[in-house]
Amino acid sequence: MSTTTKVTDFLKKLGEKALAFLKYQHYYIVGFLFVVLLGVLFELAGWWYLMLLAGGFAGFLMKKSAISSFVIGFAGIALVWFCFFVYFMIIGPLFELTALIASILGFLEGSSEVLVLITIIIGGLLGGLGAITGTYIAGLIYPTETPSEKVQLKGK
Amino acid sequence: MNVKIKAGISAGLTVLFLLSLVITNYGSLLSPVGGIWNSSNQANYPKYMEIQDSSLNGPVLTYRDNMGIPHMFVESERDFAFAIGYLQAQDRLFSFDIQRRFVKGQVAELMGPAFLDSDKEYRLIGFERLGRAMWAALQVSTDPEAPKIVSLMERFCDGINRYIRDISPNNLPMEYLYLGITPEPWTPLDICMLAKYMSYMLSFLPYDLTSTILADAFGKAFINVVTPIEPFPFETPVIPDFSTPNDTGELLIKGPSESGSEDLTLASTLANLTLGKMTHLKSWIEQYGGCSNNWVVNGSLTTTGYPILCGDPHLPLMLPSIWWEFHYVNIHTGESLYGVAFPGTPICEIGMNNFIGWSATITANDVNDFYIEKLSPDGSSYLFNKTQWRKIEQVTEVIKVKGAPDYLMTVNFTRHNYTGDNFQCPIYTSYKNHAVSVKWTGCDPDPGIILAFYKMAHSANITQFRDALKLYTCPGQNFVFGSVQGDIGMFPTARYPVRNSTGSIKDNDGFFKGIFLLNGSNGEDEWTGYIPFEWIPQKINPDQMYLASANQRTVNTTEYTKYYLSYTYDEGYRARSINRYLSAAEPHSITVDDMQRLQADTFDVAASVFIPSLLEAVETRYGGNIADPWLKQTIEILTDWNLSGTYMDRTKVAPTIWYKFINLFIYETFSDEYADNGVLGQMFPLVPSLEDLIRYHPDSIWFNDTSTPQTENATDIMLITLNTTIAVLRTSLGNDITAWKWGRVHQMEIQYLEGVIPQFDIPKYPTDGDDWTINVAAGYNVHAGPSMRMIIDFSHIAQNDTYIGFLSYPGGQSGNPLSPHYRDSFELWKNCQYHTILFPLTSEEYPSDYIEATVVFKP
Repeated sequence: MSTTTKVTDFLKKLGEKALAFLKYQHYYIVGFLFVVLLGVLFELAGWWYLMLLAGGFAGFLMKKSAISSFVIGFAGIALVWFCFFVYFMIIGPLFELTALIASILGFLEGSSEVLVLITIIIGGLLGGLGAITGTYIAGLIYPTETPSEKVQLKGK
Repeated sequence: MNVKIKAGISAGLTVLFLLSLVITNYGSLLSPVGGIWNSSNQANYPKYMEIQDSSLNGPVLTYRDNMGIPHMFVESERDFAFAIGYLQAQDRLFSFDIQRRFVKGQVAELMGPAFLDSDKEYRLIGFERLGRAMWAALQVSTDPEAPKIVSLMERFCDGINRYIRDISPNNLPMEYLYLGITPEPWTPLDICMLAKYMSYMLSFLPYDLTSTILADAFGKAFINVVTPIEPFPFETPVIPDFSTPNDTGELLIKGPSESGSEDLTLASTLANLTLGKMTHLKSWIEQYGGCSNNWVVNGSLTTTGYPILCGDPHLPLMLPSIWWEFHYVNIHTGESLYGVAFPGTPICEIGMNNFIGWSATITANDVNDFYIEKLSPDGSSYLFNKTQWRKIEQVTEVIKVKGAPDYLMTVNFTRHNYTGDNFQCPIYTSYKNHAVSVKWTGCDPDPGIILAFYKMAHSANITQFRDALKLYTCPGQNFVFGSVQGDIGMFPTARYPVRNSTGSIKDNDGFFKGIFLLNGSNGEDEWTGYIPFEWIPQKINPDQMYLASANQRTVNTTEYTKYYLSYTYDEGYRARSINRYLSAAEPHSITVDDMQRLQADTFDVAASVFIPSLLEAVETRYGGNIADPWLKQTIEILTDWNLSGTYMDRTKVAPTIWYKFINLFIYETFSDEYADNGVLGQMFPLVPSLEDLIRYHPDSIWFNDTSTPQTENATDIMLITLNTTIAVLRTSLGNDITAWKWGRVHQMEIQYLEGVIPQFDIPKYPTDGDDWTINVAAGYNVHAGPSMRMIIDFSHIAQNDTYIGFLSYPGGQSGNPLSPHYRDSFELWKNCQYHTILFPLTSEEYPSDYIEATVVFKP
């Protein structure tokens, strides 16, 4: 087999795998992108509480299992907030601030960076809980269209 | 599980989580956008910023230098006002906004009932009412510059409000998020209100109440022991050899009236009750004393041939700093102004322009009087000028209280409009059909302070500067002046009241009216106007070639008898230090370095007087045979210190002994008589009174301890005090005398908003100086001192140099604790060092290595 054929076959298989993935998993990707997009828009407006809605919309559209919805919602918002903090780290003395806050609060002194992690987790929880709720609401509205949790978990 | 139940559980959990974030406010605080992270995001100025505003006439190019100080190149003063408002808000919005709440008496609304009493005291004086009245007066002022100034004040507020719009709601400083509030628009009324507040803090004195209590205990003549009306021979007044003006200086006098009898006991009771109503709102001058220095030396004393002007106003040391520095140049006219402002105002309090420079210290001259009012039986009216029963005026203040119903406060007023003025005098308290009201020049709505500062900043020579000062109202300040023309001057200016409604400025006992509580009902103690400007002691180009003020006596009151100025001056030791140095200066010898050293000087003149007397007393008593090892070691330490110059060095032991000694010496001398008369706790006589006694009256009765059968003199009390000093220090600092270092007990602390968040403070550190050193640091725990140090070298201004002087203050330009400019000037200031004053006259001349950030305002 020539090298060209090998490469062609490889790309072909890759494409088939990608198509298969998209066929069965695209809900997750679309849902994730949805969470990220809404998360960025809402957060830029300063509406932190709408992280719930960002997760909720995605959960509603995905109509996947509770766990997978939570994971997507959590990861999406956590990523958005993480990116904000990366930007903050570049433009200002972020960890001086966390050290100051830790000192004022009287805990986490010496490892105040954890405050950023806690904040990201709080954001993630908002997205995740929103996504679960969105999924269940979808389940209530469209009961027949919602596959069983077992089927969902297999992604089929 | 049923989907509905699952949905319910998940929705419930979600709502719970959301509610917990809302209720605790953690959601808003931690949100990446709009949360506390703004503080670090906004800590650094953006390298380049453009602000477009259609209200601007032209572009404003602003460079922030490496200290964060903005240098604005403007096409019109109108645009400058907008730009300075915007930039000041960028640095200090929260600090002046929260100050507005304090001054308006709105703290209980934020913090709860614990602050209600404080709010009530602020509302009694009514800075908001006073500010509103002044703003109204400014708008109708006939001064030709008034309309322009009104417009500039509005533009300044436009700049602040534009910034507020730019950062709302998501980029507010973290303090707003923490308190859950948002900034209200800034208005010219707020500027006027802050001006009134500053006037109060720098002029309002309660000592008439104290002196009345002491007069009841000891007789009126005791005032001459506490704070003498006549100067001591060792004093150096602000104005040397004031020559009487040609005009007579007579004011409208209604003619003598019958004298009434005085009830000092009633007056003393009322004074005590009034003092009880003044526990929260204490002026800085009351809390910290007058502690500022300024001086100017003529070109004949400097190496350059041009004057050098120095100023270090002593105020509370706080973070964010009390001052904010700025510089602007009008690119069309070349007019330039560099100076410092109180944040929230566009007023250049201290500064310099292309021709002149000035600084200020408070005069401590008497501008407020307390009147005893006689009330009608039902308490609704007060008697004025013997026959007029007038209705008490009332205003209701609604104070919002967090977690409690609104509090309705009725403020009562009288008016003492005997002749010209006609402003309200708030009533503090009433007792047995009598009340105490206060008449303070700051209640006069005359907008002169704003007009004067504007004109001072635009003066090109000493004549224009002096003309501007004629408008100046309150607080009394010793304005020191220097110019490129070589002129120097000192103007202890303000509106000083004249109380001569009987034809005399003295009462029946021969004491100036204004020292004790005044009679508000018999017409004898009424104001008839203000001291004419020409009669205010002042000096231009004196023979001594320098002028210096340090809040000491304005003028030699033995010679200046036409008017009464005050009796509550600073003790005068700093003034003596400055005069001691400058009077010894050789012609053409003084350099800027010398002036820097003088501002940092910690020589204690008081110690240099008392320590030799103390050593002499020890020598007289013991003749070199001291058995007590502690006393012996103490005397050795004090002898060495006396020989090496009595410098308040934080690494030395002697200052600790001296400071404890002098405080105990006053106590040991007077506490027995005070206790006998039931006034222990009231103000003791000041240190110069004690100096006068040990130098000229060592056998004074005040030295006699009334609790012993024998009669003591100064030597006895000094030796008793010294032994007590040693005992007290051994108890508090241990038996190792060598460890009694001054810096161990004498420490400075600079706090953020009175210490509410210690992490934002500059922690305590040992420091030099004391109450009587030029580089002042009064008390053991120092919270006030040189709020900035400035030196202007007029030779540089004359030569259009880019660098014209030196300045530093304890803090920095920014109010953001995470900003590199929050405290970047502090280390310089602490070490008595300075940053150079950058004074480029065009943007092209601006040194590029000093550009930290650029802000361009565009129409």
